[in-house]
Amino acid sequence: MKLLLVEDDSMVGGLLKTALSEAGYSVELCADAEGGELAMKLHSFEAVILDIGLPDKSGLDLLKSLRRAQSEVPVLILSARFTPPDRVLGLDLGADDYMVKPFDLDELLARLRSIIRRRQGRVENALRVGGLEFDPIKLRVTVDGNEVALQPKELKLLTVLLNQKGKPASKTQIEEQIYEEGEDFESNTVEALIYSLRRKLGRDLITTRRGVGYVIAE
Amino acid sequence: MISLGAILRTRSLTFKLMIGTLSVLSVYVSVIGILAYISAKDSIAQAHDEALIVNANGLVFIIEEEARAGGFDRPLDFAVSVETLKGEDRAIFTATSQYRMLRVWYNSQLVLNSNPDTPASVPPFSEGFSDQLIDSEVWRLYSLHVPAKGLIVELGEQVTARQHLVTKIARALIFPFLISLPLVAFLFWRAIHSAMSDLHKVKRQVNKRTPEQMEPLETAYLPRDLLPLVKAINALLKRLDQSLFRERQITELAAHELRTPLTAIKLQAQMGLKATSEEGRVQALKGLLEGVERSSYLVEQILTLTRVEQTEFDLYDVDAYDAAERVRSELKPLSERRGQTISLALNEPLIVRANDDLLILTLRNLIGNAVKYAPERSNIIIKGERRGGGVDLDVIDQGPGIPEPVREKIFERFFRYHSGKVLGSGLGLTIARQCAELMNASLSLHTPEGGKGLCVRLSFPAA
Repeated sequence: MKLLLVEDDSMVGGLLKTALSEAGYSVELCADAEGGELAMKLHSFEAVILDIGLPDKSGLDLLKSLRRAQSEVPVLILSARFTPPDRVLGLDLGADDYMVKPFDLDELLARLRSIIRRRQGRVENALRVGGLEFDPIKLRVTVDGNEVALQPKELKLLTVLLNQKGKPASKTQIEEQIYEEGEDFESNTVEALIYSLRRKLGRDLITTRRGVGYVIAE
Repeated sequence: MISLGAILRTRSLTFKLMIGTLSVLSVYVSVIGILAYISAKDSIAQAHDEALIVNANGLVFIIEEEARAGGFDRPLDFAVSVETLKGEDRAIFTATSQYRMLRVWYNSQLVLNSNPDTPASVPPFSEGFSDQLIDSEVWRLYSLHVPAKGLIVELGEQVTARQHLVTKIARALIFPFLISLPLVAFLFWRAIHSAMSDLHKVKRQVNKRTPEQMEPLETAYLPRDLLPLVKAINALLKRLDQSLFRERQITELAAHELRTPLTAIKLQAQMGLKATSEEGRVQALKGLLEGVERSSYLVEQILTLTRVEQTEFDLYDVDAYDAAERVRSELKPLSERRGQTISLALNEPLIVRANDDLLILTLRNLIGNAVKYAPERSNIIIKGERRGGGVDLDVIDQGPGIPEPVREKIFERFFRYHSGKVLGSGLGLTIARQCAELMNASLSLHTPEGGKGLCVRLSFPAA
């Protein structure tokens, strides 16, 4: 799952990116609003974590133009502005959640899962298809109750397909979601990942649609 | 020991005014009383002396008639004439007769004497007025000698009697004043109190002022002599309000700005706790340290700015070369680590009207910025030039520069353009500009010749 993180402070940004990656997300980090806008034009994101105090313009302006363009991407504002009017403004401009710095990492991750879950119309975190269950908190996959060890990239690909809820995902779509900007993925191509997933989870789980992509049927 | 003066000085204004007015009034009344007393005494003496002369002359005529009629074979019966007086007049005469005396000599014979203490053995008194001591009483005597008729008429009055009259008049004057003194004091107190009510009004207004409510005191309908005080208080309130506002502003901004490094610290700590490897924990601890360093730097800069804003600095002639050289050697370890050279291109000495601390602080921030933001192994030049009557100090680096649109914004508190790339507080240029303004100098950003990097110019005006 790909996240956009717009944060001007490189230290906070870098740390948060690491923390989010460890939680199983692919993260694109932008240090200003302009970079954030550009990234959103180029890619689609599962969620956006947005700082308000950016050097070029306010994160709230970015949010406004995002919502005016009818974008439905869940947005979590992460700001040092802590007064109730600040939060009300952020939420009313279309943010799905608002967290004040300094924040608790676990809480941020939980809120992130919550806004993504809500946007996907789900009520629980776990994703299930047949005997397969994926727990996005512990990043654990079980088949008929038996845990299966997956590599981070395999997990990401599985999440992408599960989030599609029965609709096929194209190879480019998958690449965009699981690889980070500038990442070298030649040794870990989508085909290779699909192959190893089928080997670990069973041949029938992922179906290939010629010319369309891959799908996990519900 | 507290002196009386000190006690009086700390008394209330009402008390002082009461004491002042009442003592002036008392002195005034006393002087008037004394003058009235003297004047009454003189007037009574004169009137009574006149009466003695008139009466003595009158008596000469009466006694002459008496002598012509029958001589003085029998002593004159003075009592007969008393009996001719009626009612009230007689009472007055009898009550005061003891204070008066009459002696008449006819042909050296004492023919009439009302005072047993002055028998014939007491010879006639000298002519005209005299004061005589008779039986331990002082008498005012008038002796009228008429040698042609062989008559000496002597009239006298006890001085005590006159004294009684004078005392009576004085008492009549002073008594009402003494009786009315409490009333007068009360009226004074009322008047002073009502005048003081304006002062109380001011006091009540001042009492209502709090750090949140610093609006000026009402000056309408205020007595003219209170106006300067109230205006001074208003000026003070304004200064206090401004300084409080600045302080509150910087506190709010600081609290806001400290959240970012604190966020990094917290995040780092949480990641350290989650880290499964020794390496991860060490990395988290290093990050923690960096976060703490950032916070301390920020706090330090905030304190510096507050200090600059709240201290009064004297201006005097300072050698800019000297200041630049000092900052260069101070920053040398840092610039050498980055392989940078800092060169001074200014004449020695270059005198500017400044303050040592402010100039050093300004240059430290400007050259420090150049060292931090300019690339490694680049040159930083400090140029000093006389321009017009003034002096321009330029700090030129080969760093990324600041684009035109943000060149004014960059001086705002906590505004950072190249944020995150290097350790910074967003206050360095704010501090530098504040220092410059305190030295009557200005700070501006320019693009150096060649179009690359940044030139920060500190311009001192012509003296």
